Amino acid sequence: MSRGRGLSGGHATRALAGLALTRAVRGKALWIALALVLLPLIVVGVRVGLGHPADEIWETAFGTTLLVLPVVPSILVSASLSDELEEKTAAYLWSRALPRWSIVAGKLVGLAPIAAVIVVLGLTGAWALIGGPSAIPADTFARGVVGMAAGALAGATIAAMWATIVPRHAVAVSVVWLLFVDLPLGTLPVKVHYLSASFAALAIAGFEATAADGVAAFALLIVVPTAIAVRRI
Amino acid sequence: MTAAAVKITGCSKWYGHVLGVSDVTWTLPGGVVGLLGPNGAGKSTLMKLMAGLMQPSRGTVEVLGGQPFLDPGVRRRIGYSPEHESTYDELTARELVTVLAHLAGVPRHEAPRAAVRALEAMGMGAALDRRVKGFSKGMRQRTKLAATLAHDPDLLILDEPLTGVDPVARAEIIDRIKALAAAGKTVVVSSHVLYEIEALTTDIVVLYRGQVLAEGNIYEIRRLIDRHPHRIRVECDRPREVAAAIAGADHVVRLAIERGAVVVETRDPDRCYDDLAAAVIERALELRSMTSPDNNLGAVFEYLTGDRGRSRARGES
Repeated sequence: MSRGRGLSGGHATRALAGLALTRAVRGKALWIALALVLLPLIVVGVRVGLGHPADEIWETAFGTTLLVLPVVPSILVSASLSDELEEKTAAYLWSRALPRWSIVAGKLVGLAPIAAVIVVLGLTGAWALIGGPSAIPADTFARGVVGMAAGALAGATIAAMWATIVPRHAVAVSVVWLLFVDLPLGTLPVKVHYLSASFAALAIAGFEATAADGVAAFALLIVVPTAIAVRRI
Repeated sequence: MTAAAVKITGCSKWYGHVLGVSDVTWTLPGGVVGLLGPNGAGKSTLMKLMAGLMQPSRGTVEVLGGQPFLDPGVRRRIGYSPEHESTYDELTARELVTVLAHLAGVPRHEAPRAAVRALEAMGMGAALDRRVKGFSKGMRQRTKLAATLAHDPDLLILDEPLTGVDPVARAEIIDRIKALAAAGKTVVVSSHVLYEIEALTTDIVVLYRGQVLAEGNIYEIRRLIDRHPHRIRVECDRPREVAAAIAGADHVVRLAIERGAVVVETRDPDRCYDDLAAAVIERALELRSMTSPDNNLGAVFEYLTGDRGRSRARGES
């Protein structure tokens, strides 16, 4: 057996991402998250049935998916990381020959894209219900998808941050933050809205400010909460 | 000259205001050593420091020539089994040990083979593809031990590996730890039960309230402990007959009859257990339970340290 110095950060991140994904697929969180995306579909389905204008329904679809967005990364990323700390299984990882940052990176690489795919699925389903490209132009839809995915990724890093700060109540704190702090923060007409995942999502999707503002907020939200999580793990 | 496997110098660890270990200095050249102490003595903290899970608040921890917290290369050579039984329950035993072996530095393509070898060595060959969720405590402990040694570490740090396991699994685990030691591994194993440590090694370090209270041969601490009157509570249908049967034994210090039970205080627990068993069998008594309220080192250490304190106080007065 080879006796090297241990895994590189990249290899460790990949292995931990695989572990996080396997556990998510076999656990309940992923299925709960998938069930949550039915909410925008139900709301959109009702409005379509009532014959409301397509562009209004599209705004409703985006807004309703924004309400789901705080929960999905929280129950996937925050729960996974906080369980590791609360259930003390992190001891298996800390005692291994891997850099500590790879524990946070592994969770994010494994689960944040899943969170993004889930919310995008909800939005895509809603778009299809509204009437697809014949009702909402494909470029509008594409911007919405990119914005929502960016919001989910940013939400995932925020969820990871809270998991390392308050592991015992991580999911609740993460949901409350994203729902009751992040969403209002995103509506403020000052630069502090750069700290809001929902602002990033709305701006990139073309509902608020400019896409450049959205990308800047997204970059900030990927770096800062991740750095805090890595520092605290 | 070969470096010590573990060299701890002036090491203290606080959790906020709570003291984990205090000014511990200890060197382990190799072999098997038992960390003995009551719950809260600092055993787990010391093991976490050795395994590189945390940094000391003060002092240094050197393991296999390096600092485990800072150097992944050192951690590559350590196998740590934590006290708690939590694992990744969603995985099968094979998957769990494979991923932990890989994370410990075994190349990806070698990890599955290493995992199977380790699990089979721990007697888990028949449960490779069963999920950990359905495992008994004994199976969990053996899976944890397999994960600890799959990457072929030089130093094994086993925190309470026998806690909660049934007698058969306990005997098997003891045998396997002994086999690892015989294969040249350095093993640090902790317990709060003297008899468990005694089954594994004669070299012990006794921790109490975060400090090293004694270090050396287990028989010395046995001698100290055996001086401490040890209580045994026997619940049976005719406790007075049990009391009468052993009342004359020279090791019995005190007898008390409680509701449906007799409580014996003895200076020789081993002989007392033999005598009690004989009394029960000879009289065909219906034995409901035989327990020892003192079956933890906390009471003994309180007794020893308190006794010393009282002796000093008496001498001064």
